[in-house]
Amino acid sequence: MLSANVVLLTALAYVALLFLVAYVSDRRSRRGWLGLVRSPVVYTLSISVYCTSWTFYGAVGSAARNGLEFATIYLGPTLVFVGWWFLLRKLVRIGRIQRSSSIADMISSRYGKSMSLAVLVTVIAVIGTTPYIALQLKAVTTSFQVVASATHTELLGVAEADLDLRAGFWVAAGMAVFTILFGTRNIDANEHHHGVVAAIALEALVKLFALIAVGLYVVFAIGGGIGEVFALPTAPAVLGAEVFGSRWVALTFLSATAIVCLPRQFQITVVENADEEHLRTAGWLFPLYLFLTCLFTLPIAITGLATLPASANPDMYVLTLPMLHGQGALSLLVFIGGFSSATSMVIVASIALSIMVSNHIVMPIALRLSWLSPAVSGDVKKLLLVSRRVSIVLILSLGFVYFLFSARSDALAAIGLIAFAGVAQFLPCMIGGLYWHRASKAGAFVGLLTGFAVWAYTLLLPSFEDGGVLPASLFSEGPWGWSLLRPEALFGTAGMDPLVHALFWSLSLNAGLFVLISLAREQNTLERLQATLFVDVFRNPADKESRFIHRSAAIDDLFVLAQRVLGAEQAHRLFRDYARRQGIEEGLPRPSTEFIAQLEREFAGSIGAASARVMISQVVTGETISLGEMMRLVDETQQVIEYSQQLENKSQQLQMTARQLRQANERLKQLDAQKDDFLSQVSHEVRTPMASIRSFSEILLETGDLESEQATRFLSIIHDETLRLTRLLDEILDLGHLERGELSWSLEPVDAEAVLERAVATCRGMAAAAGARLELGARSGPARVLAHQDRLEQVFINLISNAIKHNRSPAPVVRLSSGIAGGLYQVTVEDNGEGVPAEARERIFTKFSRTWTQAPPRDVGAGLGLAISRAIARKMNGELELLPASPPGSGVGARFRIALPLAAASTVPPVPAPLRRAGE
Amino acid sequence: MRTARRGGEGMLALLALGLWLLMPPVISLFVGPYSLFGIPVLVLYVFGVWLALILATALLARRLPRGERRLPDLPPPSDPEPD
Repeated sequence: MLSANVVLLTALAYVALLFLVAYVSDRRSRRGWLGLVRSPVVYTLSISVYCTSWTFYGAVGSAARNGLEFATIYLGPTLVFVGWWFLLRKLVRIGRIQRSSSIADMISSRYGKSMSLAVLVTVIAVIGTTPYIALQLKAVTTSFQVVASATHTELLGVAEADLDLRAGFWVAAGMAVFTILFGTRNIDANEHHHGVVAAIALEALVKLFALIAVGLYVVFAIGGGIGEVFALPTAPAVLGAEVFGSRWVALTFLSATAIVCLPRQFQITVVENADEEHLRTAGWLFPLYLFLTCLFTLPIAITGLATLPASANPDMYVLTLPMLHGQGALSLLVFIGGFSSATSMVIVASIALSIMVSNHIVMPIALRLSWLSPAVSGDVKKLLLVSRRVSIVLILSLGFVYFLFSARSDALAAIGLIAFAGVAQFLPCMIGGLYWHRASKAGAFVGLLTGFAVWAYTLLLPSFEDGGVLPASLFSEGPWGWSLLRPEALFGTAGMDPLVHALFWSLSLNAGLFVLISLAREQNTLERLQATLFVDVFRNPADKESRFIHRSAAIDDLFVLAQRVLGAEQAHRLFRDYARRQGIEEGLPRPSTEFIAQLEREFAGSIGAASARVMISQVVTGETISLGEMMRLVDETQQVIEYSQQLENKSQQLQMTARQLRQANERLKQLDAQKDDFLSQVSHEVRTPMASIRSFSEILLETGDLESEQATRFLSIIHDETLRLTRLLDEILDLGHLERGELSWSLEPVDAEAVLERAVATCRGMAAAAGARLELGARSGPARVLAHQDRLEQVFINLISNAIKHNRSPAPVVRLSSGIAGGLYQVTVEDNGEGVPAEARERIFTKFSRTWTQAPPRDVGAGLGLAISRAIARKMNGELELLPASPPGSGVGARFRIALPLAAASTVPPVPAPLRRAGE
Repeated sequence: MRTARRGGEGMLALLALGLWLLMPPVISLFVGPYSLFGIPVLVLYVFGVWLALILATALLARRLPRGERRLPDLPPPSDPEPD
């Protein structure tokens, strides 16, 4: 066993090493040798301040109790860093441009540099962080007592009552000294603490190394291999826990929130960030760090449960396992690792909190009460330094007092998650501020206050339940017996996990009020300006701020002010540099609007945006915020977005138009071809009768002594051919009229049956001449349709005569039937011929389509009949179609059907039906 | 600009995939007394997905464009206001 002195000496030596590292890095960075300190690896290691002693010791304890649930605390941050491109990059960019010195500063700056919001955030951060610092003190104290314990019985768990509080005090005191030395050496314009960051990075390495060492020892020396560890009888119990429920989701969300919202994480990730590019490495390296941290958690938990007695505290397995096996050096390493994780958290958290307290609580009070005597160089700077040192001592004392009072109860065990849930209240106003223009100060304030109150009531208060301070009836029956307000079952939502319950109510009320009030209340001008600068940070150059705020001030006043805030030396350098930039070699720069804006940013880096604004306002005269200019900026951004959207639309439209044009062009080509076709067919049709007319007239002219009988025959042929020509031309003209929609006739209600009767009567002569039989089938009886009587008759005659003429059957039969179906009057004309050949079915309704028939041309018209008939049927809003072919041998040839809509009974006065263009 | 957008979209897809894989009900599918090489499948799955996410982020980070490295500290040297 190790003696207490050895442990103490090792811890002291380790602290001395930390001081040395911090001191050397600080000196080096002062001389401008940033090399190693400004590397992405150091940045990533310093982010691991996330892994406190709560991780170092507590993760194994959590795994022993709840199996894999411990992993959620590291999966959430992993997901945030996987998506660093979206949230973290924006945070870091804004933090750099706005010179945010803390999370309170950033939130206040976003909402119009609001002082009250900064105070609220600071208060919440202090309340949420103090118990967490107490937790670290307790972890160090407990681990010290365990590692320095003399007997095995002590080793298995220090009874809470026996906790030696002195160790806690010395740790707190030591950390206060370290933090004051390296955290408040100077008020840097960027709040970069290179010494602290270097020390934290070293601590990150130590704690990871210790965890991996103890993990390897437990798995391979105690367990005998990975497989053997998971074969231990306690493994199924650890892994069998049903953890993938609402708590799994809530914890992952909570830890993802914490990695952004915890004040110490914000300090390290955003404020101490030296180069935005470091995020590119941290995006995968930090999750890898977490991964390695968690790798051995389960094996240690399983082995601890299997080999240590049930009374042993699972939270100390990491330490007690190597101790029980007599590994003194390893236990010492583990103790130092746990010590590292506790101290790094305490250091960074107290720096972050002290900056917030001094900038957002002390400074505003000092400004209000005029503590600062005017025109003393460096007085503000001095006040800041003093107030920071005092607040570090105060914060650590507060943590120690909290530790003192709660060390003997279990209240601290759950504080990690309670603190996470507390700072999670920053999330709505932070995310809203980064991505939503309308998010307003009033909304953020009310949401934050409500969320914080609900958190305190539902989560923080119940953690004191066992302390005996609060009456038990408050939790069982609610305040004043109102059971709806029971802290752990708000509004009757009993049965939920307490953490999920508190998280649900606090965050939903917080976000809900934030959104509602933001929507209801108008922002003031400064809020609107800051909203634009934050939300559109990647679109606007940083120095646009000076476009909107026009200020003037006496340069002497500004110089005095700068000396007070930044100190004489830094102020002098700043003014000289700026003057040179303006082309002034000697003397002070011109107090231009840009210069004042830059000065305010410089101030904001040390005293916070809200206080910087107040201080600048004291010497500035005639500040005007150019609303018009600001609206223009918003408009410009909007316009760019709109333009690009319009461009996309336009290009899509253009593509569509081009496609339509191509289609139209295709169609035009087709029509052109059809027209050529048509012309050549017409000339062909005209040529045949012309040729016979010419030859017969030549015969008549040349042979004078022709017999009159023969001459008469010739003349009658010429006459016939002329008639045929005329008919052809008439038909072409007719079709042309029909297709162009020039209707020389109007539609009126007629009895279609009567028209059919007349057509049949007309065709009987032709049928008799051709030896064909006309059969009449089923009839519909009188049917009124909107039609033109003569035209309809023409269609019927055309169909019947076609059926007679093209029928090659030895006993030609033409059957006619009519009927009414679905509001349509239908006439079917069928013959017993060969039918229409399949390849001609498509064509027969086109012009000059005679090719399908073998009838001698003389008997046939020009092949326009069906085309004309269909055009007429369509003009009457009807249709003419060729019915599907019947199987050969069924005795049925071609079947045509014309269908016309019945005239509605009410349409007694004939209304011209809407015209349909032919060819559609 | 285009690569930024595509890289960002890739990252968003990776994030969504990670969430999908690590949240119930998908993760619950691996609960059970099965093991591979002596290690429970659930443990292999959680840590495997975790490691895969890390690797994918590292690969994706190289494809994303670098931001401008200029610190936006100071206004441009030209000073339009004569007063």
